[in-house]
Amino acid sequence: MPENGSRKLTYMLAIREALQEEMRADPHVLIMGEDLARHGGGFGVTKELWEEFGSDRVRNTPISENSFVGAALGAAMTGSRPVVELMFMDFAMVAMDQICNEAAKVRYMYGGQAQAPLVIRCPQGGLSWKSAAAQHSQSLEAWFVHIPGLKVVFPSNAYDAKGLLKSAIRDNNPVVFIEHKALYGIEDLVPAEEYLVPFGKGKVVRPGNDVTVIASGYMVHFAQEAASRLEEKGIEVEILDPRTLKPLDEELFYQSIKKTHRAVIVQEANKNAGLGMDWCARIQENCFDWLDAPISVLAGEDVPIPYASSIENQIYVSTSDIVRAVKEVCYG
Amino acid sequence: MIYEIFMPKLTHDMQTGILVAWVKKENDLVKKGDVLFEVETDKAISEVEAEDEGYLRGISVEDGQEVKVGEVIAYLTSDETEPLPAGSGSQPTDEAPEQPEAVAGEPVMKKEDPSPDSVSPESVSPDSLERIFISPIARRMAEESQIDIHKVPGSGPRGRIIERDITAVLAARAATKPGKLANTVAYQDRRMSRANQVMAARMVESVQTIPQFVVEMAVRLDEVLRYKAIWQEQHQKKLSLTAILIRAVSQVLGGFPLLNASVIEPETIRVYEDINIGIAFQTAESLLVPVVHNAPARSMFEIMTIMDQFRMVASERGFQPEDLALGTFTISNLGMYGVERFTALINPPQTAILAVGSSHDQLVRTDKGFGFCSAIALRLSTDHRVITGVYASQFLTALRELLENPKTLILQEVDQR
Amino acid sequence: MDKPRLFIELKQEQHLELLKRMYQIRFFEEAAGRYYRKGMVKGGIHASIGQEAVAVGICAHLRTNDLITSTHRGHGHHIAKGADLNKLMAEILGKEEGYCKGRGGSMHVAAFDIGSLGAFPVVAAGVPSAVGAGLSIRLHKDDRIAVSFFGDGALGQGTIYECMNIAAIWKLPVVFVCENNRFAVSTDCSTSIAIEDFAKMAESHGLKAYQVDGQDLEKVHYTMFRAVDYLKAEEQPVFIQADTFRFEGHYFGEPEVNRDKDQIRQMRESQDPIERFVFWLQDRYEDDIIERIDQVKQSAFDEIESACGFAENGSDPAPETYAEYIYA
Repeated sequence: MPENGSRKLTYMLAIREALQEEMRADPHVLIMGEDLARHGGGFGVTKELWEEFGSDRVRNTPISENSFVGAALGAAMTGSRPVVELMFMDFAMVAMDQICNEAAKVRYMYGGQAQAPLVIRCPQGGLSWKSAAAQHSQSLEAWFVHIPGLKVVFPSNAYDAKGLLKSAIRDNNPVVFIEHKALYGIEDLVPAEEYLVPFGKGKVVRPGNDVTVIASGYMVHFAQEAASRLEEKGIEVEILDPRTLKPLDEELFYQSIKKTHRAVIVQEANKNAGLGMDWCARIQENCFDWLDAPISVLAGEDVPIPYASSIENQIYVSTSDIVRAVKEVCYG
Repeated sequence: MIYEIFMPKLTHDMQTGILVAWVKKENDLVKKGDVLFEVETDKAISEVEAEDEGYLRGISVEDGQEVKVGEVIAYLTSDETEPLPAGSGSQPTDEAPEQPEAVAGEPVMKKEDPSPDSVSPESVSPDSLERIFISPIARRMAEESQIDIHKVPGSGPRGRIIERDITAVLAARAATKPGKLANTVAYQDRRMSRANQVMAARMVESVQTIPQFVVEMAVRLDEVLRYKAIWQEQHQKKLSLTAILIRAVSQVLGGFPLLNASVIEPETIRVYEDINIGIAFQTAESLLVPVVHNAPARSMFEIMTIMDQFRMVASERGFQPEDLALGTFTISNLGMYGVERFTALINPPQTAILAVGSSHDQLVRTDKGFGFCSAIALRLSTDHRVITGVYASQFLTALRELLENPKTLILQEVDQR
Repeated sequence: MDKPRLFIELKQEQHLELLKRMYQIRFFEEAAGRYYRKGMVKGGIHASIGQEAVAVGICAHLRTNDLITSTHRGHGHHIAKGADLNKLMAEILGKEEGYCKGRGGSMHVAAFDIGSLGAFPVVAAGVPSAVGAGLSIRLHKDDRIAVSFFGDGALGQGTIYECMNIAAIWKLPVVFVCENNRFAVSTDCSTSIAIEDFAKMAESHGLKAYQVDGQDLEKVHYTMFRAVDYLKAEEQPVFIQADTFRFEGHYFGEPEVNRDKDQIRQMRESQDPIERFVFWLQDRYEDDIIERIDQVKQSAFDEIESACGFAENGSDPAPETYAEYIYA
């Protein structure tokens, strides 16, 4: 954690600061998306940027996700460094051809002639952003991790959000930058001096010896809550936050599990074909001889996210679920 | 100029085509666009046009023949007489396609047969067919510390042995350093044989019912050995010390009836009129005591013969019940095992047992000062309910005298012949 | 490069240069077709035989640093833009020496060094990239233009209309070129696109639109000339509908169930853009032009032959390099 020159900043402001700093440093960086200018984007992240950088570099687009992501790709291939905002991760589905067929593959298909330094910001998730229902609350990181040629990051706190976004903008590859809406208002210490968070490096959020809990995004906070509760029961939980989903810091997982012999994976996304199962299989491949219990994967239910809170609450993993799962793998 | 005419790929999936009919003939002059031949694929019959000009020559495929895509079937030459490529006939081009990557019927990559290693020998218990459930880390820890997982109780679900079960075993092991009590000890159970069980019962009864005490005396063997040598010479037969002892004891026992008796609680002493001397024989599993019945009436020769029989039978485990019954006194000799002296337990319902040790050199006073002689230790265990120390001592004294002066033995022998 | 831009004012060498380009495309496609029929090329080849005038006429106005996006039927665009024939043919054969190091093949050729942002075979998927290129040009404030080629079939994709919209409101220097050969695979566009007048449709989307006979090189050249002038003067994107004809199937080997064989034959005979241009040249110049035309034709032929030789001698990408060029 950073020391001097740090101040408390919300996740949202940290993202804005990253955009601002990179746009100041490099005139080729521009942002585009719906309502980015005076309105400040779907959630207010890009407020004040239009006032500073003007309409050339803060571009409101029509509601044409596939086309404006494709246009961002074209711009990226021709010297610009666009950061696209999709108002909701759910709308990425409209742009899948441009993200997954085109942007991800131009470099490879064209034998290295092209590069696409493109960032696509995707606010995702339900939970605190309650009652947005089925098409505005999804967690779709697995879709993009599955496509070769993309990089995917998912910060869980303001410090990582700023550092990862700056790294994403400087990366010469297409990056899907996932933000969790519920985290926008959550504060953390963020240094004032320039720093970057590298891709492909996870973090030990909390050290422990008894069990490894791996979580991403908003789930990291739930894991921390669960860990506090478990501490009282004498179970020391080690929490890992991969931060970059692709490329994944697998070694961090293995090192931890070889120490604790137990793993619980926590995700907000639907369990089926989600990243949790991918990580579970990797851990099984590499840490089989160190495991004392089956790997536990906690994930969302296989249900479109409902509107009414009474049933929406049923779908996601809760702190109690995590506590229970940890106890189970500890046979206690 | 020579142009190759080949079977063209007319449709996406085409592998071969049937050349239905040549429209142009050998040596015809052909212009670009003229139809050369017709091809049938599974879709349709198509006309194939010439792409160049020239004389059609070197046709190597007949009407109706099936040809692979890319295979050269003829040539167009600008000159009628131009020589054709050597070996012109069907010459498939280098790039004639082989089967495409995935053909139905191509064997699927066989999954490797599980290697012998994949079936861990530990998980198949030689004693039972039941699986042992054990977590990978626990298994590894057990292997590293040579813990037999068959003996570890599993505290996980389905009886799964988990890390802490192995840790517990290791902790227990560490705890069995000298001075501390062990929680568990490794062991193996064996069933007691019938004979073993009998012996056990007997010995318990012996100790529990008979108050035994022991008197010991050393006996010089010089004379006995001389006697033995003479006897063996005379009879051309080996004579054992035990046989001599039987003879001797049977002679002496007559004067000490309480040693040839049984105590019948609460107040009866049954004195036996017959003297049946049992000899302790070791078998593989236990102690059997065959009996020389009516020993005083037997000559040394007889006794030795009986002993030989016993020895043979003992090794074949075939004593009959009558061989083992009705003993009144027992002799046990461990001398041949190097034991110098020992205390035997009385064989109930008898009242005495004589334990004989190995011969050893003993320092003795001689006329000239000191010398060595051969001696053995005789220990008599007797039932203190009816026998006193004095009585026992007197018996041994009589026995010693007889053994150290075997003339009487011999005399007896002579009598009996 | 300072040369007269009006077709009629071009010198003979320049006219012959354009003819040569057309022959190069024609012979290249025919050679590719031969490779296909010999089974040396896996995957599909989509030839632009019959559409040479559109590519050549449009690209005649483009400098090396002007940008194009192309389609699955993209060999002609690339040759017209000035691609290296050797590297292009090598890519068709999937060789390491090809433009895309054998990783793209016929449908995904690209030549970034001469301003091609690549062939996008997903229909209409390249158009947004052309718009994005236009955006970069705008931000960079230079005078380049971006040209996006697509077919009549692409008018079924929403992204076309979205792109015209974005280009129009952001005033991007993009030329939308619709090569209307009337067929999308086997589908006659009159049965799948309700719009009858594409040019009018484009205008209603905020573009200046032109329609031209795509088999007439002079007319195509002249239309593009006017379009580029307009675009630069008015800062408005333009749309060109070039009506053309595809002589082969959608891909080599396509059964062509909906195309009339007689009509195709007739088109080949009467609507061959190369032949029409040859007539034009013969009309315009003295008789000795015929000899020059033959020389140009032979020269183009030889260059394609040479490219074939280069490609056939190329090497397959080494198996262990399969994962290279994923990330920058």
